[in-house]
Amino acid sequence: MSAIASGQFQLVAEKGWRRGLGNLLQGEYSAWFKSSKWWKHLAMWFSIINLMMVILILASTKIAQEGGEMPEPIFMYGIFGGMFVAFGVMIIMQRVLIAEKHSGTAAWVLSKPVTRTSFVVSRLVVNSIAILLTSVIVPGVIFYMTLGLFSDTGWLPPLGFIAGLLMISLHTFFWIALVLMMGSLFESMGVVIAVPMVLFFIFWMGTGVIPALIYISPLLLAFSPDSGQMSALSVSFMTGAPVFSWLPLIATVVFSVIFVAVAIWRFNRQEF
Amino acid sequence: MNSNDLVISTEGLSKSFGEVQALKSLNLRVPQKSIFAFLGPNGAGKTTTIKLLLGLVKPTSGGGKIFGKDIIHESVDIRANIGYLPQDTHFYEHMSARQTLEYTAKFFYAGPQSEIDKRVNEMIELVGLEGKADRPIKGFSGGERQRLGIGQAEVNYPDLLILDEPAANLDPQGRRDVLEVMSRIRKHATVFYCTHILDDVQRVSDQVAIVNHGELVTQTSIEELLAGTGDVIYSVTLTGDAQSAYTQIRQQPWVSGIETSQEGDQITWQVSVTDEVAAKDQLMNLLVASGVKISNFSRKEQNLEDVFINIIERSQK
Repeated sequence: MSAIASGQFQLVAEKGWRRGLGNLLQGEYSAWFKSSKWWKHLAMWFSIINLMMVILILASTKIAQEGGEMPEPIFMYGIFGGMFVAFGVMIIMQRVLIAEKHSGTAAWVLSKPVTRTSFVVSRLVVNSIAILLTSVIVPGVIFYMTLGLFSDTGWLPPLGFIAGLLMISLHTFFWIALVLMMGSLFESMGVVIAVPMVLFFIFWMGTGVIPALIYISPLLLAFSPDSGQMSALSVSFMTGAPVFSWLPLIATVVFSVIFVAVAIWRFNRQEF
Repeated sequence: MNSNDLVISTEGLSKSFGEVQALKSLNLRVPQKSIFAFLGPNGAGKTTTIKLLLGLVKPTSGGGKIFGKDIIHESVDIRANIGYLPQDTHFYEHMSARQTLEYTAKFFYAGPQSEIDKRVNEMIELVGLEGKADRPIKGFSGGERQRLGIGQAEVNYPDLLILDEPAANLDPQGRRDVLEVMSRIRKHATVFYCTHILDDVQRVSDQVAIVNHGELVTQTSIEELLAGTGDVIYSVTLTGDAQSAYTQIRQQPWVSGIETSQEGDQITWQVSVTDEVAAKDQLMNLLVASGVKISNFSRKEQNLEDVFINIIERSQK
Protein backbone atom coordinates (compact mmCIF):
# COMPACT_ATOMS: atom_id res chain seq x y z
CA MET A 1 0.00 0.00 0.00
CA SER A 2 1.27 3.47 -0.81
CA ALA A 3 2.75 5.65 1.88
CA ILE A 4 -0.07 8.13 1.45
CA ALA A 5 -2.60 5.39 1.99
CA SER A 6 -1.14 4.03 5.22
CA GLY A 7 -0.28 7.40 6.81
CA GLN A 8 -1.53 7.58 10.38
CA PHE A 9 -3.83 4.62 9.88
CA GLN A 10 -3.74 1.18 11.43
CA LEU A 11 -4.31 -1.28 8.63
CA VAL A 12 -6.85 -4.08 9.00
CA ALA A 13 -4.97 -7.07 10.41
CA GLU A 14 -7.36 -9.94 9.60
CA LYS A 15 -5.76 -12.74 7.59
CA GLY A 16 -6.93 -15.74 5.59
CA TRP A 17 -10.66 -16.39 5.23
CA ARG A 18 -11.42 -13.81 7.96
CA ARG A 19 -10.36 -10.84 5.77
CA GLY A 20 -13.05 -8.18 6.13
CA LEU A 21 -15.10 -10.19 8.63
CA GLY A 22 -15.02 -7.60 11.44
CA ASN A 23 -16.34 -4.81 9.25
CA LEU A 24 -18.90 -7.06 7.59
CA LEU A 25 -20.20 -8.16 11.01
CA GLN A 26 -20.31 -4.52 12.12
CA GLY A 27 -22.23 -3.57 8.96
CA GLU A 28 -24.79 -6.36 9.41
CA TYR A 29 -25.11 -5.59 13.12
CA SER A 30 -25.83 -1.93 12.28
CA ALA A 31 -28.45 -2.94 9.70
CA TRP A 32 -30.30 -4.93 12.39
CA PHE A 33 -29.67 -3.14 15.64
CA LYS A 34 -28.97 0.50 14.73
CA SER A 35 -32.25 0.74 12.87
CA SER A 36 -35.88 0.03 13.70
CA LYS A 37 -35.56 -3.48 12.27
CA TRP A 38 -34.87 -5.29 15.57
CA TRP A 39 -37.74 -3.85 17.55
CA LYS A 40 -40.18 -4.28 14.66
CA HIS A 41 -39.28 -7.98 14.56
CA LEU A 42 -39.43 -8.19 18.34
CA ALA A 43 -42.87 -6.57 18.38
CA MET A 44 -44.05 -8.95 15.66
CA TRP A 45 -42.87 -12.09 17.48
CA PHE A 46 -44.17 -10.74 20.82
CA SER A 47 -47.58 -10.38 19.18
CA ILE A 48 -47.49 -13.78 17.48
CA ILE A 49 -46.00 -15.80 20.33
CA ASN A 50 -46.46 -14.05 23.66
CA LEU A 51 -49.87 -12.42 23.21
CA MET A 52 -51.24 -15.67 21.79
CA MET A 53 -49.76 -17.62 24.70
CA VAL A 54 -51.32 -15.19 27.23
CA ILE A 55 -54.70 -15.68 25.56
CA LEU A 56 -54.20 -19.46 25.58
CA ILE A 57 -53.15 -19.50 29.24
CA LEU A 58 -56.17 -17.39 30.26
CA ALA A 59 -58.48 -19.53 28.12
CA SER A 60 -57.09 -22.82 29.45
CA THR A 61 -57.46 -21.59 33.07
CA LYS A 62 -61.09 -20.67 32.42
CA ILE A 63 -61.84 -23.94 30.59
CA ALA A 64 -60.14 -25.91 33.39
CA GLN A 65 -62.37 -24.13 35.95
CA GLU A 66 -65.38 -25.21 33.88
CA GLY A 67 -64.12 -28.79 33.86
CA GLY A 68 -62.94 -28.85 30.23
CA GLU A 69 -59.49 -29.70 28.80
CA MET A 70 -57.05 -27.81 26.58
CA PRO A 71 -53.53 -28.63 25.44
CA GLU A 72 -50.83 -27.61 27.90
CA PRO A 73 -49.46 -24.11 27.09
CA ILE A 74 -45.98 -25.61 26.90
CA PHE A 75 -47.03 -27.81 23.94
CA MET A 76 -48.62 -24.85 22.23
CA TYR A 77 -45.46 -22.80 22.76
CA GLY A 78 -43.53 -25.44 20.81
CA ILE A 79 -45.88 -24.92 17.86
CA PHE A 80 -45.84 -21.11 18.01
CA GLY A 81 -42.11 -20.90 18.68
CA GLY A 82 -41.31 -23.72 16.27
CA MET A 83 -43.64 -23.77 13.30
CA PHE A 84 -44.42 -20.06 13.05
CA VAL A 85 -40.82 -19.04 13.59
CA ALA A 86 -39.68 -21.52 10.92
CA PHE A 87 -41.98 -19.85 8.39
CA GLY A 88 -40.80 -16.44 9.59
CA VAL A 89 -37.18 -17.51 9.06
CA MET A 90 -37.96 -18.57 5.48
CA ILE A 91 -39.44 -15.15 4.73
CA ILE A 92 -36.67 -13.16 6.46
CA MET A 93 -33.71 -15.19 5.21
CA GLN A 94 -34.84 -15.63 1.59
CA ARG A 95 -33.55 -12.14 0.78
CA VAL A 96 -30.24 -12.36 2.60
CA LEU A 97 -27.93 -13.54 -0.20
CA ILE A 98 -30.24 -13.31 -3.21
CA ALA A 99 -31.23 -9.65 -2.76
CA GLU A 100 -27.56 -8.69 -2.43
CA LYS A 101 -26.64 -10.68 -5.53
CA HIS A 102 -29.48 -9.12 -7.55
CA SER A 103 -29.00 -5.54 -6.34
CA GLY A 104 -25.23 -5.51 -6.91
CA THR A 105 -24.29 -4.72 -3.30
CA ALA A 106 -22.62 -8.16 -3.00
CA ALA A 107 -20.42 -7.39 -6.02
CA TRP A 108 -19.59 -3.97 -4.57
CA VAL A 109 -18.60 -5.40 -1.17
CA LEU A 110 -16.62 -8.22 -2.80
CA SER A 111 -14.60 -5.66 -4.76
CA LYS A 112 -13.08 -4.67 -1.38
CA PRO A 113 -10.46 -6.74 0.46
CA VAL A 114 -12.93 -9.28 1.85
CA THR A 115 -13.24 -13.01 1.32
CA ARG A 116 -16.45 -14.60 0.16
CA THR A 117 -16.36 -16.89 3.18
CA SER A 118 -16.38 -13.93 5.56
CA PHE A 119 -19.27 -12.42 3.55
CA VAL A 120 -21.40 -15.56 4.07
CA VAL A 121 -20.31 -16.01 7.69
CA SER A 122 -21.19 -12.40 8.55
CA ARG A 123 -24.70 -12.81 7.09
CA LEU A 124 -25.15 -16.12 8.89
CA VAL A 125 -23.87 -14.98 12.30
CA VAL A 126 -25.67 -11.64 12.59
CA ASN A 127 -28.96 -12.85 11.12
CA SER A 128 -28.88 -15.92 13.36
CA ILE A 129 -28.26 -13.83 16.48
CA ALA A 130 -30.92 -11.30 15.53
CA ILE A 131 -33.53 -13.92 14.62
CA LEU A 132 -32.83 -16.06 17.68
CA LEU A 133 -32.94 -13.02 19.97
CA THR A 134 -36.15 -11.56 18.60
CA SER A 135 -38.07 -14.77 17.88
CA VAL A 136 -36.80 -17.35 20.36
CA ILE A 137 -34.85 -15.99 23.33
CA VAL A 138 -36.77 -12.83 24.28
CA PRO A 139 -40.23 -14.32 23.56
CA GLY A 140 -39.08 -17.48 25.38
CA VAL A 141 -38.08 -15.57 28.52
CA ILE A 142 -41.37 -13.64 28.44
CA PHE A 143 -43.25 -16.93 28.04
CA TYR A 144 -41.34 -18.36 31.03
CA MET A 145 -42.43 -15.39 33.17
CA THR A 146 -46.01 -15.59 31.88
CA LEU A 147 -46.18 -19.28 32.62
CA GLY A 148 -44.81 -18.78 36.17
CA LEU A 149 -47.05 -15.85 37.01
CA PHE A 150 -50.35 -16.65 35.31
CA SER A 151 -50.69 -20.38 34.61
CA ASP A 152 -51.41 -23.44 36.71
CA THR A 153 -48.12 -24.91 35.43
CA GLY A 154 -46.18 -22.50 37.63
CA TRP A 155 -42.41 -21.94 37.54
CA LEU A 156 -40.59 -24.52 35.46
CA PRO A 157 -37.02 -25.60 36.38
CA PRO A 158 -34.88 -22.85 34.78
CA LEU A 159 -32.16 -25.19 33.48
CA GLY A 160 -34.71 -27.46 31.86
CA PHE A 161 -36.39 -24.45 30.30
CA ILE A 162 -33.05 -23.12 28.99
CA ALA A 163 -32.30 -26.56 27.50
CA GLY A 164 -35.77 -26.53 25.90
CA LEU A 165 -35.13 -23.06 24.43
CA LEU A 166 -31.80 -24.34 23.11
CA MET A 167 -33.67 -27.09 21.24
CA ILE A 168 -36.05 -24.52 19.72
CA SER A 169 -33.02 -22.36 18.83
CA LEU A 170 -31.34 -25.30 17.06
CA HIS A 171 -34.57 -25.98 15.18
CA THR A 172 -34.66 -22.31 14.12
CA PHE A 173 -30.98 -22.39 13.13
CA PHE A 174 -31.66 -25.43 10.91
CA TRP A 175 -34.07 -23.34 8.82
CA ILE A 176 -31.72 -20.32 8.82
CA ALA A 177 -28.87 -22.49 7.48
CA LEU A 178 -31.13 -24.21 4.93
CA VAL A 179 -32.51 -20.96 3.48
CA LEU A 180 -29.00 -19.44 3.42
CA MET A 181 -27.77 -22.44 1.44
CA MET A 182 -30.72 -22.19 -0.94
CA GLY A 183 -29.86 -18.51 -1.47
CA SER A 184 -26.34 -19.47 -2.50
CA LEU A 185 -27.55 -22.23 -4.85
CA PHE A 186 -30.40 -20.48 -6.65
CA GLU A 187 -31.16 -17.09 -8.13
CA SER A 188 -34.93 -17.18 -7.70
CA MET A 189 -36.50 -16.09 -4.40
CA GLY A 190 -39.47 -18.35 -5.20
CA VAL A 191 -37.28 -21.45 -5.25
CA VAL A 192 -35.39 -20.33 -2.14
CA ILE A 193 -38.59 -20.15 -0.10
CA ALA A 194 -40.50 -23.01 -1.80
CA VAL A 195 -37.99 -25.80 -1.17
CA PRO A 196 -37.76 -25.23 2.64
CA MET A 197 -41.58 -25.00 2.84
CA VAL A 198 -42.01 -28.28 0.98
CA LEU A 199 -39.36 -29.84 3.23
CA PHE A 200 -41.17 -28.54 6.30
CA PHE A 201 -44.43 -30.20 5.22
CA ILE A 202 -42.60 -33.43 4.35
CA PHE A 203 -41.17 -33.53 7.90
CA TRP A 204 -44.56 -32.62 9.33
CA MET A 205 -46.92 -34.84 7.31
CA GLY A 206 -44.49 -37.36 5.81
CA THR A 207 -43.96 -39.34 9.02
CA GLY A 208 -47.32 -41.02 8.35
CA VAL A 209 -45.88 -42.48 5.13
CA ILE A 210 -42.27 -42.95 6.24
CA PRO A 211 -42.24 -43.29 10.06
CA ALA A 212 -38.41 -43.34 10.17
CA LEU A 213 -38.44 -39.72 8.97
CA ILE A 214 -39.18 -38.65 12.55
CA TYR A 215 -35.65 -39.66 13.60
CA ILE A 216 -34.05 -37.11 11.32
CA SER A 217 -36.75 -34.47 11.67
CA PRO A 218 -35.67 -31.06 13.01
CA LEU A 219 -39.33 -30.40 13.89
CA LEU A 220 -39.10 -32.80 16.81
CA LEU A 221 -36.73 -30.40 18.53
CA ALA A 222 -39.51 -27.78 18.81
CA PHE A 223 -42.83 -29.56 18.51
CA SER A 224 -44.06 -33.03 17.85
CA PRO A 225 -45.83 -33.76 14.59
CA ASP A 226 -47.60 -36.55 16.51
CA SER A 227 -47.84 -35.53 20.15
CA GLY A 228 -49.87 -38.65 21.00
CA GLN A 229 -46.85 -40.84 20.19
CA MET A 230 -43.86 -38.77 21.22
CA SER A 231 -42.86 -35.51 22.88
CA ALA A 232 -40.74 -32.83 21.29
CA LEU A 233 -37.26 -32.54 22.77
CA SER A 234 -38.01 -29.00 23.96
CA VAL A 235 -41.08 -30.20 25.87
CA SER A 236 -39.13 -33.13 27.33
CA PHE A 237 -36.43 -30.80 28.63
CA MET A 238 -38.90 -28.21 29.96
CA THR A 239 -41.11 -30.75 31.75
CA GLY A 240 -38.39 -33.20 32.73
CA ALA A 241 -40.01 -36.01 30.72
CA PRO A 242 -37.79 -38.69 29.12
CA VAL A 243 -36.33 -37.84 25.73
CA PHE A 244 -37.95 -39.84 22.92
CA SER A 245 -34.74 -40.04 20.85
CA TRP A 246 -31.48 -38.11 20.51
CA LEU A 247 -31.28 -38.80 16.79
CA PRO A 248 -33.32 -35.73 15.71
CA LEU A 249 -30.92 -33.51 17.66
CA ILE A 250 -27.84 -35.11 16.06
CA ALA A 251 -29.42 -35.02 12.59
CA THR A 252 -30.38 -31.35 12.96
CA VAL A 253 -26.85 -30.36 13.98
CA VAL A 254 -25.26 -32.41 11.18
CA PHE A 255 -27.66 -31.07 8.54
CA SER A 256 -27.12 -27.48 9.71
CA VAL A 257 -23.34 -27.84 9.47
CA ILE A 258 -23.68 -29.34 5.97
CA PHE A 259 -25.99 -26.51 4.85
CA VAL A 260 -23.54 -23.85 6.05
CA ALA A 261 -20.59 -25.64 4.42
CA VAL A 262 -22.44 -25.93 1.10
CA ALA A 263 -23.46 -22.24 1.27
CA ILE A 264 -19.83 -21.19 1.75
CA TRP A 265 -18.53 -23.59 -0.90
CA ARG A 266 -21.09 -22.46 -3.46
CA PHE A 267 -20.71 -18.73 -2.75
CA ASN A 268 -16.95 -19.06 -3.25
CA ARG A 269 -17.61 -20.36 -6.78
CA GLN A 270 -20.16 -17.80 -7.84
CA GLU A 271 -19.58 -14.99 -10.31
CA PHE A 272 -20.77 -11.44 -9.77
CA MET B 1 8.56 -2.01 -21.11
CA ASN B 2 9.91 -3.72 -17.98
CA SER B 3 7.34 -5.90 -16.21
CA ASN B 4 8.12 -3.99 -13.00
CA ASP B 5 6.78 -0.86 -14.66
CA LEU B 6 3.44 -2.49 -15.26
CA VAL B 7 0.55 -2.29 -12.82
CA ILE B 8 -1.71 -4.61 -14.82
CA SER B 9 -0.54 -7.33 -17.19
CA THR B 10 -2.69 -10.10 -18.60
CA GLU B 11 -1.72 -13.13 -20.66
CA GLY B 12 -4.33 -14.78 -22.85
CA LEU B 13 -7.08 -13.72 -20.46
CA SER B 14 -10.30 -15.29 -21.73
CA LYS B 15 -13.83 -15.65 -20.45
CA SER B 16 -16.82 -17.50 -21.81
CA PHE B 17 -20.38 -17.43 -20.52
CA GLY B 18 -21.82 -20.65 -21.89
CA GLU B 19 -21.54 -20.44 -25.66
CA VAL B 20 -20.72 -16.74 -25.64
CA GLN B 21 -17.03 -15.87 -25.63
CA ALA B 22 -16.98 -12.52 -23.88
CA LEU B 23 -13.21 -12.09 -23.86
CA LYS B 24 -10.69 -13.69 -26.21
CA SER B 25 -7.09 -14.04 -25.14
CA LEU B 26 -6.55 -10.51 -23.87
CA ASN B 27 -2.94 -9.38 -23.44
CA LEU B 28 -3.12 -6.06 -21.67
CA ARG B 29 -0.22 -3.91 -20.42
CA VAL B 30 -1.04 -1.00 -18.15
CA PRO B 31 1.98 1.09 -17.14
CA GLN B 32 2.38 2.65 -13.71
CA LYS B 33 1.02 6.15 -13.04
CA SER B 34 -0.82 6.21 -16.34
CA ILE B 35 -4.38 7.21 -17.04
CA PHE B 36 -5.38 4.23 -19.12
CA ALA B 37 -8.59 4.38 -21.15
CA PHE B 38 -10.14 1.04 -21.98
CA LEU B 39 -12.54 1.60 -24.86
CA GLY B 40 -14.93 -0.42 -26.92
CA PRO B 41 -18.53 -0.55 -28.05
CA ASN B 42 -21.27 -1.95 -25.78
CA GLY B 43 -20.74 -5.65 -25.14
CA ALA B 44 -17.10 -5.52 -26.24
CA GLY B 45 -15.88 -7.12 -22.99
CA LYS B 46 -14.81 -4.07 -20.98
CA THR B 47 -16.81 -4.75 -17.81
CA THR B 48 -15.98 -8.46 -18.00
CA THR B 49 -12.28 -7.53 -18.07
CA ILE B 50 -12.69 -5.34 -15.00
CA LYS B 51 -14.57 -8.07 -13.13
CA LEU B 52 -11.82 -10.55 -14.03
CA LEU B 53 -9.18 -8.16 -12.70
CA LEU B 54 -11.12 -7.75 -9.44
CA GLY B 55 -11.74 -11.48 -8.96
CA LEU B 56 -15.51 -11.10 -9.26
CA VAL B 57 -15.52 -13.60 -12.12
CA LYS B 58 -12.96 -16.30 -12.87
CA PRO B 59 -11.21 -16.63 -16.24
CA THR B 60 -11.98 -19.57 -18.51
CA SER B 61 -8.32 -19.58 -19.49
CA GLY B 62 -5.27 -17.37 -19.20
CA GLY B 63 -4.52 -15.11 -16.28
CA GLY B 64 -2.94 -11.91 -15.20
CA LYS B 65 -1.13 -9.93 -12.57
CA ILE B 66 -1.79 -6.70 -10.75
CA PHE B 67 1.10 -5.23 -8.72
CA GLY B 68 2.89 -8.48 -9.65
CA LYS B 69 0.26 -10.55 -7.81
CA ASP B 70 -1.86 -13.24 -9.40
CA ILE B 71 -5.44 -12.10 -10.09
CA ILE B 72 -6.84 -15.56 -9.36
CA HIS B 73 -4.99 -16.63 -6.22
CA GLU B 74 -4.06 -13.30 -4.62
CA SER B 75 -7.21 -11.37 -5.40
CA VAL B 76 -7.94 -10.22 -1.83
CA ASP B 77 -4.39 -8.84 -1.42
CA ILE B 78 -4.72 -7.05 -4.76
CA ARG B 79 -8.04 -5.51 -3.75
CA ALA B 80 -6.41 -4.05 -0.63
CA ASN B 81 -4.66 -1.58 -2.95
CA ILE B 82 -7.46 -0.93 -5.41
CA GLY B 83 -10.34 1.52 -5.55
CA TYR B 84 -13.26 0.48 -7.75
CA LEU B 85 -16.24 2.33 -9.14
CA PRO B 86 -18.76 -0.08 -10.69
CA GLN B 87 -20.73 0.79 -13.82
CA ASP B 88 -23.98 0.71 -11.85
CA THR B 89 -23.36 1.96 -8.35
CA HIS B 90 -25.26 -0.01 -5.70
CA PHE B 91 -24.92 0.77 -2.04
CA TYR B 92 -26.93 -0.12 1.05
CA GLU B 93 -29.97 2.14 0.84
CA HIS B 94 -30.39 2.48 4.60
CA MET B 95 -26.91 3.98 4.98
CA SER B 96 -26.05 7.64 4.50
CA ALA B 97 -23.19 8.77 2.27
CA ARG B 98 -21.04 9.28 5.37
CA GLN B 99 -21.83 5.80 6.70
CA THR B 100 -21.09 4.27 3.28
CA LEU B 101 -17.71 5.97 3.12
CA GLU B 102 -16.90 4.95 6.70
CA TYR B 103 -18.02 1.38 5.99
CA THR B 104 -15.79 1.29 2.90
CA ALA B 105 -12.82 2.82 4.74
CA LYS B 106 -13.04 0.19 7.47
CA PHE B 107 -12.35 -2.58 4.94
CA PHE B 108 -8.87 -1.05 4.74
CA TYR B 109 -8.26 0.70 8.05
CA ALA B 110 -8.86 -0.55 11.59
CA GLY B 111 -8.40 2.90 13.08
CA PRO B 112 -7.90 5.34 14.61
CA GLN B 113 -11.50 6.53 14.29
CA SER B 114 -10.43 10.20 14.21
CA GLU B 115 -8.29 9.58 11.10
CA ILE B 116 -11.08 7.59 9.44
CA ASP B 117 -13.53 10.45 10.15
CA LYS B 118 -11.03 12.91 8.68
CA ARG B 119 -10.64 10.84 5.52
CA VAL B 120 -14.41 10.45 5.19
CA ASN B 121 -14.89 14.21 5.48
CA GLU B 122 -12.17 14.76 2.87
CA MET B 123 -13.96 12.42 0.45
CA ILE B 124 -17.33 14.08 1.06
CA GLU B 125 -15.72 17.42 0.18
CA LEU B 126 -13.87 15.95 -2.80
CA VAL B 127 -17.07 14.72 -4.45
CA GLY B 128 -19.19 17.68 -3.38
CA LEU B 129 -21.71 15.90 -1.16
CA GLU B 130 -21.32 18.15 1.90
CA GLY B 131 -25.00 19.06 2.07
CA LYS B 132 -26.24 15.50 1.69
CA ALA B 133 -23.67 13.47 3.58
CA ASP B 134 -26.02 12.44 6.38
CA ARG B 135 -29.10 11.67 4.32
CA PRO B 136 -30.03 8.06 3.44
CA ILE B 137 -28.79 7.06 -0.02
CA LYS B 138 -32.25 5.92 -1.10
CA GLY B 139 -33.09 9.59 -1.81
CA PHE B 140 -29.98 10.21 -3.94
CA SER B 141 -30.12 11.02 -7.66
CA GLY B 142 -28.06 9.07 -10.20
CA GLY B 143 -25.42 11.79 -10.26
CA GLU B 144 -25.15 11.89 -6.46
CA ARG B 145 -24.75 8.13 -6.35
CA GLN B 146 -22.02 8.40 -8.97
CA ARG B 147 -20.23 11.05 -6.89
CA LEU B 148 -20.48 8.84 -3.83
CA GLY B 149 -19.16 5.97 -5.93
CA ILE B 150 -16.08 7.99 -6.83
CA GLY B 151 -15.60 8.97 -3.17
CA GLN B 152 -15.74 5.37 -1.93
CA ALA B 153 -13.34 4.26 -4.68
CA GLU B 154 -10.81 6.87 -3.58
CA VAL B 155 -11.29 6.53 0.20
CA ASN B 156 -8.22 4.29 0.68
CA TYR B 157 -5.98 6.39 -1.60
CA PRO B 158 -5.53 3.33 -3.84
CA ASP B 159 -2.47 2.59 -5.93
CA LEU B 160 -4.81 1.58 -8.74
CA LEU B 161 -8.19 3.14 -9.39
CA ILE B 162 -10.53 1.14 -11.63
CA LEU B 163 -13.47 3.18 -12.89
CA ASP B 164 -16.25 1.72 -15.01
CA GLU B 165 -17.94 4.66 -16.77
CA PRO B 166 -16.96 7.29 -14.17
CA ALA B 167 -18.70 10.19 -15.93
CA ALA B 168 -21.98 8.38 -16.55
CA ASN B 169 -24.98 10.11 -14.94
CA LEU B 170 -22.98 13.27 -14.29
CA ASP B 171 -23.78 16.79 -15.45
CA PRO B 172 -21.02 18.80 -17.22
CA GLN B 173 -19.82 20.22 -13.88
CA GLY B 174 -19.66 16.75 -12.35
CA ARG B 175 -17.87 15.42 -15.42
CA ARG B 176 -15.27 18.16 -15.14
CA ASP B 177 -14.83 17.39 -11.44
CA VAL B 178 -14.25 13.71 -12.20
CA LEU B 179 -11.60 14.54 -14.80
CA GLU B 180 -9.90 16.82 -12.29
CA VAL B 181 -9.91 14.08 -9.67
CA MET B 182 -8.41 11.64 -12.19
CA SER B 183 -5.70 14.11 -13.18
CA ARG B 184 -4.86 14.75 -9.52
CA ILE B 185 -4.75 11.04 -8.65
CA ARG B 186 -2.21 10.25 -11.37
CA LYS B 187 0.52 11.77 -9.19
CA HIS B 188 0.37 8.80 -6.86
CA ALA B 189 -1.77 6.20 -8.61
CA THR B 190 -2.69 4.52 -11.88
CA VAL B 191 -6.17 5.04 -13.29
CA PHE B 192 -7.73 2.34 -15.45
CA TYR B 193 -11.12 3.33 -16.77
CA CYS B 194 -13.84 2.59 -19.30
CA THR B 195 -15.92 5.31 -20.88
CA HIS B 196 -18.03 6.16 -23.88
CA ILE B 197 -17.16 9.85 -23.68
CA LEU B 198 -14.23 10.05 -26.08
CA ASP B 199 -13.68 13.79 -25.55
CA ASP B 200 -12.74 12.98 -21.95
CA VAL B 201 -10.33 10.28 -23.09
CA GLN B 202 -8.54 12.68 -25.39
CA ARG B 203 -8.30 15.27 -22.60
CA VAL B 204 -6.90 13.22 -19.75
CA SER B 205 -5.63 9.82 -20.92
CA ASP B 206 -2.12 8.94 -21.92
CA GLN B 207 -2.67 5.29 -22.85
CA VAL B 208 -5.57 3.74 -24.74
CA ALA B 209 -6.67 0.18 -25.47
CA ILE B 210 -9.60 -0.63 -27.72
CA VAL B 211 -11.50 -3.92 -27.55
CA ASN B 212 -14.18 -5.18 -29.88
CA HIS B 213 -16.08 -8.47 -29.72
CA GLY B 214 -13.87 -9.51 -26.81
CA GLU B 215 -10.61 -8.99 -28.69
CA LEU B 216 -7.94 -6.39 -28.17
CA VAL B 217 -7.81 -4.33 -31.37
CA THR B 218 -5.10 -1.89 -30.39
CA GLN B 219 -3.15 -0.63 -27.41
CA THR B 220 -0.98 2.43 -27.64
CA SER B 221 -0.40 5.95 -26.38
CA ILE B 222 -3.05 8.53 -27.19
CA GLU B 223 -0.56 10.53 -29.33
CA GLU B 224 0.36 7.50 -31.44
CA LEU B 225 -3.25 6.57 -31.84
CA LEU B 226 -4.22 10.00 -33.10
CA ALA B 227 -1.13 10.34 -35.29
CA GLY B 228 -0.58 6.98 -36.82
CA THR B 229 -3.38 4.53 -36.81
CA GLY B 230 -5.50 5.80 -39.68
CA ASP B 231 -4.69 7.22 -43.09
CA VAL B 232 -4.31 10.97 -43.45
CA ILE B 233 -7.28 12.47 -45.22
CA TYR B 234 -7.24 15.51 -47.50
CA SER B 235 -10.54 17.22 -48.16
CA VAL B 236 -10.80 18.81 -51.64
CA THR B 237 -13.73 20.79 -53.05
CA LEU B 238 -13.59 21.50 -56.76
CA THR B 239 -15.57 22.30 -59.91
CA GLY B 240 -14.95 21.46 -63.55
CA ASP B 241 -14.08 18.19 -65.32
CA ALA B 242 -13.11 16.06 -62.36
CA GLN B 243 -13.07 12.66 -64.10
CA SER B 244 -9.53 12.81 -65.50
CA ALA B 245 -8.20 14.29 -62.26
CA TYR B 246 -9.92 11.52 -60.31
CA THR B 247 -8.40 8.79 -62.52
CA GLN B 248 -4.95 10.28 -62.29
CA ILE B 249 -4.99 10.77 -58.52
CA ARG B 250 -6.55 7.37 -57.83
CA GLN B 251 -3.61 5.73 -59.68
CA GLN B 252 -1.05 7.21 -57.30
CA PRO B 253 0.50 4.53 -55.08
CA TRP B 254 0.13 6.69 -51.96
CA VAL B 255 -3.65 7.15 -52.42
CA SER B 256 -5.66 4.47 -50.65
CA GLY B 257 -9.12 5.75 -51.50
CA ILE B 258 -11.29 8.64 -52.57
CA GLU B 259 -14.79 9.25 -51.20
CA THR B 260 -16.85 11.45 -53.50
CA SER B 261 -19.89 13.61 -52.84
CA GLN B 262 -21.52 16.28 -54.99
CA GLU B 263 -23.71 19.30 -54.26
CA GLY B 264 -24.72 21.26 -57.37
CA ASP B 265 -21.57 21.65 -59.44
CA GLN B 266 -19.39 21.44 -56.33
CA ILE B 267 -17.62 18.11 -55.99
CA THR B 268 -16.04 17.14 -52.68
CA TRP B 269 -13.41 14.42 -52.35
CA GLN B 270 -12.05 12.88 -49.19
CA VAL B 271 -8.68 11.61 -50.35
CA SER B 272 -7.12 9.03 -48.03
CA VAL B 273 -3.36 8.89 -48.35
CA THR B 274 -0.83 6.48 -46.91
CA ASP B 275 2.24 8.67 -47.44
CA GLU B 276 1.68 12.16 -46.15
CA VAL B 277 4.96 13.55 -47.51
CA ALA B 278 4.18 12.39 -51.06
CA ALA B 279 0.65 13.75 -50.77
CA LYS B 280 1.92 17.12 -49.56
CA ASP B 281 4.35 17.31 -52.50
CA GLN B 282 2.14 16.06 -55.30
CA LEU B 283 -1.60 16.18 -54.60
CA MET B 284 -2.09 19.90 -55.15
CA ASN B 285 0.14 19.88 -58.27
CA LEU B 286 -1.82 17.01 -59.79
CA LEU B 287 -5.10 18.83 -59.19
CA VAL B 288 -3.85 22.09 -60.68
CA ALA B 289 -2.35 20.30 -63.67
CA SER B 290 -5.66 18.57 -64.41
CA GLY B 291 -7.35 21.94 -64.87
CA VAL B 292 -10.04 21.73 -62.21
CA LYS B 293 -10.95 24.79 -60.16
CA ILE B 294 -10.17 24.25 -56.48
CA SER B 295 -12.29 26.10 -53.92
CA ASN B 296 -11.09 24.22 -50.83
CA PHE B 297 -8.03 22.13 -50.03
CA SER B 298 -7.36 21.10 -46.46
CA ARG B 299 -5.89 18.33 -44.35
CA LYS B 300 -8.62 16.83 -42.24
CA GLU B 301 -7.76 16.70 -38.53
CA GLN B 302 -8.84 13.42 -37.00
CA ASN B 303 -10.13 13.32 -33.47
CA LEU B 304 -10.35 10.29 -31.25
CA GLU B 305 -13.95 9.64 -32.22
CA ASP B 306 -12.96 9.34 -35.92
CA VAL B 307 -10.05 7.08 -35.04
CA PHE B 308 -12.19 4.96 -32.73
CA ILE B 309 -14.91 4.48 -35.34
CA ASN B 310 -12.32 3.68 -38.03
CA ILE B 311 -10.64 1.10 -35.85
CA ILE B 312 -13.90 -0.53 -34.82
CA GLU B 313 -15.16 -0.65 -38.42
CA ARG B 314 -11.88 -2.14 -39.64
CA SER B 315 -11.88 -4.75 -36.90
CA GLN B 316 -15.38 -5.82 -37.98
CA LYS B 317 -14.34 -6.38 -41.62
